[in-house]
Amino acid sequence: MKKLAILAAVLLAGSAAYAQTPAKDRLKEIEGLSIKAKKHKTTSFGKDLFEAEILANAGYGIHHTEGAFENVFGPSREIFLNILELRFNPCRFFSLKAGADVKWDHFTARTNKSFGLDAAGNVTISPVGGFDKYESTLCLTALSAPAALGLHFGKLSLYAGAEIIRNVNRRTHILTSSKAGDLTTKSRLEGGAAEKYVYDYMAAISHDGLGLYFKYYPKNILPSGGPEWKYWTVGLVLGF
Amino acid sequence: MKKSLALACVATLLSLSAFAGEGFLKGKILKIDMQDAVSERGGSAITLGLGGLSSSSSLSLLSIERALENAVDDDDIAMIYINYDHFRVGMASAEEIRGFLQAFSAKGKPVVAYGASLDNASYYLASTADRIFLHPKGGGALTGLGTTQFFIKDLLDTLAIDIQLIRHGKFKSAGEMYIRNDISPENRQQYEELLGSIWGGMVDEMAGSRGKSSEEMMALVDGLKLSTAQTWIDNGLVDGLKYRDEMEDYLAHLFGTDNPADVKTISLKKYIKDLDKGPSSKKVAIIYADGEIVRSGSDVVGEKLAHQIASVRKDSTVKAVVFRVNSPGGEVVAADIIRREIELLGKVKPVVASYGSYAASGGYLISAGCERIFVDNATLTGSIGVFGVVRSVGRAVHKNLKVNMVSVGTNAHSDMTSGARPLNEEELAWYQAEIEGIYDDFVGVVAEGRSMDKDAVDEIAQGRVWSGKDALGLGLADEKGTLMDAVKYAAGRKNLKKYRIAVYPEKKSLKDKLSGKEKSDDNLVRIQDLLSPGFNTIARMPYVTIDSPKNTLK
Repeated sequence: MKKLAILAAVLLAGSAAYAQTPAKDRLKEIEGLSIKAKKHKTTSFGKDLFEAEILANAGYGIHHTEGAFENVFGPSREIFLNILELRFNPCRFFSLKAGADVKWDHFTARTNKSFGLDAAGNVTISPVGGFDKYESTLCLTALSAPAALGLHFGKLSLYAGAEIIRNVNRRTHILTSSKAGDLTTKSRLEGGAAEKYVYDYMAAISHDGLGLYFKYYPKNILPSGGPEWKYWTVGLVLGF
Repeated sequence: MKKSLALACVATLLSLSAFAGEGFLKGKILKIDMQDAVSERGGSAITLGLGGLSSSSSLSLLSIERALENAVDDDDIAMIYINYDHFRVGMASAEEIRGFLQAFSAKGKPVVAYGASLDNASYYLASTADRIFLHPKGGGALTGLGTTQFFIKDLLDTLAIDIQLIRHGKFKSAGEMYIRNDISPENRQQYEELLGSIWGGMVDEMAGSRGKSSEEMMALVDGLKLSTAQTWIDNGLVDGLKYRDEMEDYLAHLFGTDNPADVKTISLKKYIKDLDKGPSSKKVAIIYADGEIVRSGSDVVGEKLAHQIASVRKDSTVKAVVFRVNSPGGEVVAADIIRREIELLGKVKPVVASYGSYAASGGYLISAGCERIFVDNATLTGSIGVFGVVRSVGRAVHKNLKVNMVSVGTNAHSDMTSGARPLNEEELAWYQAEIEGIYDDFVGVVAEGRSMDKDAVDEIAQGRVWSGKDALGLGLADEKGTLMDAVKYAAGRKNLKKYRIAVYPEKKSLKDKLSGKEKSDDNLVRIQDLLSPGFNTIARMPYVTIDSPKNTLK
């Protein structure tokens, strides 16, 4: 709750600062700007041929694991935030884009399962019992480089592409929270091994900046020796 | 702690990203050319004159309001550019458009105005712009509002036309032009207060837009301080002087380019055409009463409009109705025919009135029963009163044409309506009683429609014309608002989120198009009516135009 409150407060403060700027002040600001000579061609449909944007979009998705691990994982999710996006707009209907994102993945085990580490530092999953409440989450932080082709029809856009993901430090960490009677225990376990590079295939549809995306991760995020699972993700993406 | 800090940083970055690249404007300019005439219904008219056939067209106020409202949230529209030259918009319409421009500006989107000549009306609209520019050789003056009226008693005496005026209401000045050579003290008072009310409101708004006090504005007007373009700059009423090419460069700069050809514009006419109409299964109908109310002719014909209202009542796709009145009144019977149909309509669907430049006398009668009345400050309304004019041309035709009119009849008053002679005492008393009865009915209709005491209505009636602003305080209207405000209120009464606006009467016939000039906010004397014998019972506000002189310094 506290985190949400901080997030909401900062967002509101930012929005309020903009809402109070009247048109007259905005004009005054623009009148003082210098026009830089254009080095690139502006297209006839209003977009620049090449565009670069900071913080172009952000998204939230729900993971769905396949096969044997369907019964192992509970609610699992990803959050990603674009840092930089480059776009090439050769015509009104078509674009190419590539970007650099930061991504966080959380895989939460079901209440009777727990993530752990073996002696070699590989992630394990083992049954657990005797608790009123038990939650074990495997967390990864990664940098990713998505690339996609886009088709545009007015405000409606379709994208298809792929993404290369570089797990930071090639390490995971495991957060565990348990409650037995009046005793609540929380722990953080560092050092689980993760694959250096994974990838996914993605598709998205968006309208006026709000979209739905789908990603399929065919490669295991943990190296051999640890549990292996494939998963797919569905989520919302918001373009700024 | 670390996590909270990280989250706060991300949130800050997210907020800042909303403003990153805010700099120059992106999108299109919505161009509004005020020389495009604005009328209630819009459309075109074909006129046959000495030079042959000519056509004129105008935009409807409704479509302009819808377009401006849409532009507020349309990311494709970055700013509005107004050319205020050859201003052809009525005061009340200008007031409504001004409100929409202010809403656009409040969203942080600029409004820029440019032209070569300014006067009361064009500056009233242009003053709401965030930047006003004037041609270096242009200028103009703010003079305040005035009205000039014609009194033709001497002319009628010369022509030997006998006019008998039967009226109720000390302010019912519509007939005074026939029986006086000057304005009565009551009506002088009425007009002074009326014009003062309207002009006071305009001055307050113009002053507010330019960061001045109303007293400062009035001093500029009274002192005739404004003439050349430089005087407008010196007095802080415009922001700069530019030639047209400089204006184009300025607009290009706002979009971050030094090439005006790179700037995308869209005209108001085209923007209006591209608006989404909404689903046809749920409609809000706008029924127009635009013009003088008559029993036959080409204005608001009582039976015709009543027929249209009845069809709207039976149309199940129409869920709510706005009755848009822009009428100075007219024939009592025709007005009551319309009133009755509106009353029947109000029993099955919500009916909201929206007033344009005039909704006076008969124009008020037909709409007083609506559940809510929206007005503009500059609307002329009230004029709750009735008068009868008896025209006798017996003496005139004898004196001027050496023709004698002789009547033969079966009863004592058979020739009463022939126009050959004035009414005698008995006949005058009969007609006066009829006028009193009609007035009493009129007051009764208003009292019932406005939930007021009859005596209270009589106090503010007496034929007096009120501004919309004053009418709100007197209980003759409910809310200051535009046509679109009335539409939204009506839609809200039936919880309509998506709906189509349907306009009635529907299409103008070819006959109507060929009938002459397009409807405008002018309110002209009909001299030709004087020459036809007979009598009419009229509930109409005075024939009056509000003077607003154009710039003559160019």
